[in-house]
Amino acid sequence: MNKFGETQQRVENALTRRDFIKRAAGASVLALSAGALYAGLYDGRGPSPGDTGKVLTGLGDFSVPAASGAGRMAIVRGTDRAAMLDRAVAALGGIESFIAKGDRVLIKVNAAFATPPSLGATTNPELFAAVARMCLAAGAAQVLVTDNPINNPESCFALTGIAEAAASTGARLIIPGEGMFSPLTLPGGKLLVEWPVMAGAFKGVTKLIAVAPVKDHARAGASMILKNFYGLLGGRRNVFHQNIAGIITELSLLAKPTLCVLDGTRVMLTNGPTGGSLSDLKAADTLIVSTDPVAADAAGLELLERSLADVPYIQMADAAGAGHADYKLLNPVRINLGA
Amino acid sequence: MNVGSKPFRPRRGPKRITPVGPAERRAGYAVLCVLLAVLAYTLIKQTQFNPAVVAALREGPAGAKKASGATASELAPVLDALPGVAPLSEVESFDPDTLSDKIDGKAELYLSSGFKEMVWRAFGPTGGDKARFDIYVYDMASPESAFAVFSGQRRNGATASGLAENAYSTGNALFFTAGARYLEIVADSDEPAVKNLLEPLGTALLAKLSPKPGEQAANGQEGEPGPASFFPAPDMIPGSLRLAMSDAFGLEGLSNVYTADYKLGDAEATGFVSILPDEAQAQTWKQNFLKFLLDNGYSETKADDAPEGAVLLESSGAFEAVLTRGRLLYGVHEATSRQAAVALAGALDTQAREKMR
Repeated sequence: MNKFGETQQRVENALTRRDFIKRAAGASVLALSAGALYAGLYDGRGPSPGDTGKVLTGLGDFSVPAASGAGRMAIVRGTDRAAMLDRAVAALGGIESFIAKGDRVLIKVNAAFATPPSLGATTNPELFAAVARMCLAAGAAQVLVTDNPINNPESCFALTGIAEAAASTGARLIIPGEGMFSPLTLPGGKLLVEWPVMAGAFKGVTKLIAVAPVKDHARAGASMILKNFYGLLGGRRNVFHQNIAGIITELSLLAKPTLCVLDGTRVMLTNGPTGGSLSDLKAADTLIVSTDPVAADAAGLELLERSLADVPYIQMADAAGAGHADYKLLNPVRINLGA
Repeated sequence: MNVGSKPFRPRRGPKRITPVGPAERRAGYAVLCVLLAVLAYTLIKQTQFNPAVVAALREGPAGAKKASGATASELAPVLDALPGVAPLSEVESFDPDTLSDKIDGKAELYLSSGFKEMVWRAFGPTGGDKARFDIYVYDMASPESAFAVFSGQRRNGATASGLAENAYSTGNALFFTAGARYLEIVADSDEPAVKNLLEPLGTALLAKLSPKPGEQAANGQEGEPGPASFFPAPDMIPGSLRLAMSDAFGLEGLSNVYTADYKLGDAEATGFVSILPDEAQAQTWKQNFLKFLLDNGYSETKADDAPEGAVLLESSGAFEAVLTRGRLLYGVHEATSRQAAVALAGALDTQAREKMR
């Protein structure tokens, strides 16, 4: 190419001011449009699962300091639930060590299914009644009982015998309603983020007692005290089934109970959590009462003939600081009432 | 370059290609960097599971939340009138989104096995007795799906029932399949008067459940031998045949694996069989399963006395054997002795050779 040709080529390739302005304007319009679209569609908060008012960070610490010289765990062998409860609580310093006059006590039961007590899928109503009577006898101003079965709560409380037991003892049954749920974000939690929990049931509550049966659980490995707190969740909580150990670990930090009553009188060994056949149940004749929910579950595992490796959330809850997976550190008081 | 001068523009000719200047290049890189940053941010945010968002998206627009137990089911009439009992409740229907509302953590067993719908209703005896029967009818994707949930929950020591090919009863309940349906009739006690109503209820329900078009029983299908026929009968524990539709033995992706339990002298072992779509996949899953076992503490052990091609592994007194033949993957799981593992592997191999001939 000669000199003239090179010059002509350069001139042809040159960017004119008009071209530059056109291109810059076009690019700016595109960028601004994209930005406007982003600003218009962006929802910084994401969809809210429930009431958009104050976001809670926990449901409270209801634990009480252990009485001097009293243990923190009792394991009682026997078949009479009320008698076993009496002896276990006495071994921990008596109910007065936990319930004071004027206390408002919330009993969290497992009433997840509309099934009769004979199938062992829910908290035994006689055991619940014994706990409620004990609290009232200690001077509790009010005893409340609740759970959040998603499907037809009234039917669940009626069929499980909990409603009748509540009526007979004077405990007030709290049926979950939409207004009782508030969003909660657990500090450091990955799952409990603005999730609706049944905070309304805790209004004015000064003590919390969890009463649950020992059961197999198809997804979690076991359902005992910690899994029982799953019933405080609202919303489409089945999304947590994909990370059941994670959610139970976070639930272990949701509230510190005053007492945990784990019923291993009859244990659901197979086909939990619903069971269905009486052959899913086995008499283990044991009641575990503890101030430590993690330790209670760890002891309950032995009734299920399982190890900590089979139910990962117990050690995860221990690591999170919710209690002791090595329940023997609590030096449990062992009592045998016989058959 | 003098950008202010009027450039020479040819009147005609090919469209000119303007070379990219340094400023444009820098601007282009900057835009690309911004786009990459947006992509990275999006990917990171997507990895952070936000259950509230997942739940809200599943529920759809506000006010459109699906009612748990709502009934608009073609299956509901099955639970209309039944002999000897009267309804204590309305029929309730549950789909894959709401099943866990009724059966909580048990739902996963059904959802991973091809669950479509469940209808439930409670009944009481017409005689005025206080008994209660809960009847659950699960509509599954296929007879194999129904068999998977039936066999996955089979109670040890249950009594086989003549009601259907797959049926058993316990003290208070009757469990059976009818084509692609799995049914549970659960009474609240094992009183004889209550128990005596279970079979008539099952018979009436079976009569109402006409097979779906093209539906066949889960086992003994026409054409090639069904997976169940690969299990040698001697030493098999009756009623121990099971089907894992997904993630068998905890290995993600290993699906449609039939198992049967064996008692070989003092030892116990589980045989397994899976028919893969082709030989290459059988080989792939053999390797995947072996890797899975090795990753979980097993180590390969001598297999001189095992069938040709068998890989034998051991971990803390538990033995596994894995083989393939054509598109058949089979072997032994959790044998309590080496001898039992080898013996059962041999019996399975003999059966496989005969059936795949």
